[in-house]
Order: sequence, then structure tokens, then C-alpha cells
Amino acid sequence: MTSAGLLVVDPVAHRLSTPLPLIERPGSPDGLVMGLREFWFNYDRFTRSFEVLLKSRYKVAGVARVDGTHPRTGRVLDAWLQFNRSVDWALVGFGGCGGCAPWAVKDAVELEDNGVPTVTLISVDLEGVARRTAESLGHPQLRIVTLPHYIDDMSDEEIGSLAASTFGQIIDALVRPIDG
Amino acid sequence: MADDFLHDASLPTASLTRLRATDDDPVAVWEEALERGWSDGLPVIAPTAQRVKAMLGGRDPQAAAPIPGPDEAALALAKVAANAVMAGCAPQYFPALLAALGAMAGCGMTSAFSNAPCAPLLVFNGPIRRELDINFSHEMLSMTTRANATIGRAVRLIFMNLLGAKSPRLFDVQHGMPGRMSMVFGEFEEESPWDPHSVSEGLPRGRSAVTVFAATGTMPVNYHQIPQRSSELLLILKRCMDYTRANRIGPSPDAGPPIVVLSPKHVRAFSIDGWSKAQLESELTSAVNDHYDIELVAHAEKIELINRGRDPDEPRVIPTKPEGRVRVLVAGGVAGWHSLMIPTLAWGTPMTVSID
Repeated sequence: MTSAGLLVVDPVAHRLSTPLPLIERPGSPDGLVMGLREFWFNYDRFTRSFEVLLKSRYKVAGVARVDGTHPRTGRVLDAWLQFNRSVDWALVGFGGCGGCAPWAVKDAVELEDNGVPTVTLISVDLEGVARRTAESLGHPQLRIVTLPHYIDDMSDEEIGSLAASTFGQIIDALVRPIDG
Repeated sequence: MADDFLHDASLPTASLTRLRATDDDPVAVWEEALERGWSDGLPVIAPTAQRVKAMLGGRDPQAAAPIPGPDEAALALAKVAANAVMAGCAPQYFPALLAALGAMAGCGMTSAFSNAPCAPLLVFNGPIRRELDINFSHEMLSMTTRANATIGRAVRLIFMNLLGAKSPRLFDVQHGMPGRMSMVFGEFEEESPWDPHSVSEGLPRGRSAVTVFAATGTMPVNYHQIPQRSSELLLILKRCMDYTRANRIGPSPDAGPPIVVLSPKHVRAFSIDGWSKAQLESELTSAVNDHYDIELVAHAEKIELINRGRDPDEPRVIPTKPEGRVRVLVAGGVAGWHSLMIPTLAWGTPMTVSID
């Protein structure tokens, strides 16, 4: 006869908050203004490569760039708020350290809450930290794509190859329906 | 049959769950705890309702724990007790554990144990050392007694299971350190000519207390000599602090003031030569805060970076090197020639609380 298993007090804290809904995803980047929130050494090489690829495959209505440094005050804050209002979707990056990853997620969440769908690029080694931040901000389903940690010292060719190899994944993260 | 002491097992803040393992098979309990992510790698005691109730010692299982959970949500005391059971704590350790958690919450260090290469070091003062058999002599930091090993381990499991401090959700704990498993000792007050640390922090003599530090390692300081000369020992201690001074050269220094744990032999050398604890702490503090005058390219880059988000008309923020007071404790075996330097992290301020 098999004994019943032990009944124990669950030693784990489970999150109680209800996730907030992500903003509806666009069907395609066609005809949209892309926003590039940029922060990390040499990350702009990746975004430039990505921009070239995007324009070669879609009709891009425009590209806006904003710096991802925190905290933001005065005119720098004004520029960030203007960015929020002026783009149709945003590629947010790069979360390459324990401060940068949470800050990238915070910016992405702020954009989502302002009606801008996002894809956030995070170092593969910091995905756990990024997702923990997203959960704490009520967005466990935030769309995150990981990149190798060492993008800051990759060659231009390596960056170009990386942009090409992750392009499909990023577009999928942007357009995939919320329940998909 | 479930123990109904949890009042309402459907409440989200405390719940019961059934294991596949039975108590007859401790290896199966351990393996299932590993599978569920509850364990720190070592065997755990199954947190049955009966054991959790014993650990609570009459406290309300639904009462809020002294440390907030993720997103500042309240944690049920029953869950803290469950982790204490898993760690192997005896019920009489629970007040000491709760006091330590309260100190962590109050001193701004909880984030450090998820995002920095440090361990919560718990230092006990007062009668509780002997009541719980907390080691303050030979092997005190080897975690060879139940209290030293399990009180610290309970903190570890609480951070893992209740505060989410486990890989891959950690940052900047590249290598970890052994003290994160448990790092607990008592002060050897009986061998000290000076006030216990808790008294120096304002608590009455004879009151049981715990202090929490964010420790990043342990470094034996060797002065093997008869006769002992305090001037020579002081020189050696100051030079050992070069680790902290050097670790503050970089653009984002996080090295806090070290703790100096004098052995009974070494504290006698200072005391005989007329040193007070306050004098020694001041001398060592001046030494460690004598920063290296080294300019790196990285410093200018860091200043530019942290000000890039500011309106250009606002004053620039210039980062400063962390400073703080070196604290001197007395502990360790009587026979022996080593004291200890414990480097710390400059996150939060060590806090001493009494144990009720």
C-alpha cells in the first residue's frame, strides 16, 4: 500500500498581483514609425544594422532615437516623453548590466503603458533579472529578446551578423498576437 | 489529514501542498525539494504543518513577517517558519531569526543579497549566544554548530524562496561566496576588555542582540609573536586594509568599511597598551578612508554617463568613494595567532536589533 505524500507548508512566496495587459501588437512594421531607445556601449551599431534590415523589408514611416540614460530630468526628460508620443513601436535596449537591464524594462513598461508596443533587448545572462523586473512592474509577458552579453566588443561584422540572425525573432516578438 | 492551524488553507499568503515523498524517506524529501527549487543544495527537513506550528511557537501564522516579500507584499510568518524548519532550525532559534530579518529590512541591505557578491553576516551578542549555543570561539565561522549553521541557512532559504534571490534572477553574484550558505558567529564578550558591539551600538549590557553586516569574505590576519606589540599588529591591520582601499579605485566602488574581528590574544595586546575600542576604530577608519589618489579614464567616463540623463543646466553629480566606520569585534579561539578582517559591501548600514 502506498503512503500518501507529506502535506507541507508551501515555503515559496507566490506573486499575487494580476498582470496588466500588454498593448495590442501591430500586424506588421509596415507604415509605422520605429523608436530606438539606445543605451550601452556600441549598441548603436546593432540598431543601425537593424534599421537597414528593417527598411529593406518593410515600408518604415520614420525612425526616432532617444537615449536610455537614467535618471532623466529637464530637457532630457522632455525628449523622452516626446519619444513616447511620436513612435508607433519601440525597440528598447540594451540591458547589459544589473542596472541597465531593469532600466530598459522600466522604459519598455512605460512605453507599453503609453500605448507603444515594444521589444526589449537584454543580455542572455540577465534575462532572469529583466523578467523579475517586468513581473514586479505588472508585465510578466513583456516581449524580451536576448542577445549575447559581449556586444560591446564585437566587431562590426559580428554585429551585422547578429542583427541579421535575430531580426526574425525581434519582428516576431513585435507582431505575435498577445495570446500567441 | 491537514492540520487546520493555518485557519484557512486557501488563503494565498500561506498554503499547504502535498509532496510525493513521505517522511519515511528523507532522501526522497530532499530530492523533491531540489526538484521544486526549494533547497540550497543540502538536505531539508520537510516543513509539515506540525513542525511549522512548533517553530511559530504560538505566533499567528498569518501575521506579517518582519521582512517584506517581492513587490513589498506582506509575507506570512508561516512561510518564514517553513523555511526555518527546512533549514534545520530548532524552534528556540526563531526569535533570533526574526530579529535578524527585521534588521535586514531596516538597514537597506535586502537588495544586496540578491544583487551583490556578499553574504548576510549575523553577529550575536548577549545571553542568547549561550542559550542557543552560538559559537564564538574556535571554528566559529566554519558553521559546525547547529545554531550557527541553521540560523544563517534559514536566512539563505528565505531569500531564495520568499524573496526570489536565486539564479538566474540574480545579478552581480558572479561567483557567489561560501558565506551565502550561512555566516553566523557570536562575540566572545567574556574575553573582551571592551564593550560588546551591541552596547557600543546603544543597547543595554546583557540584552541579547543581533547585528547584520554585508560581508564579502574573510581574511585571516597573522601576528604570531611573543611578546605581542600593538604597534606592530596595528601596522599589519592597516596594510590588510589595502584590499579595501584598492577595491575603491574603480569607477563604481562598492567596498564598505571592513570589520576587524580581534582574537582574544590580539585584543589583549591593544588593551594592555591602553587602547580603547573607539580609538582603534578611529585609527583603522582613518587608514581605510585614505583613498588612493589614482585617476582612471573610466572615472571621467562614469561621470559623463551618470549625468547624461540630466538637464545640461543642472549641477553635475560626481560620485564619491564609499566611506564608513571600521567596526572592531572580539571573537575566535583563545589559543592562536590570527585575527580576522571581514571586508564588507557599501550597501546599506549595519543594524543592531535586540532579540525579544
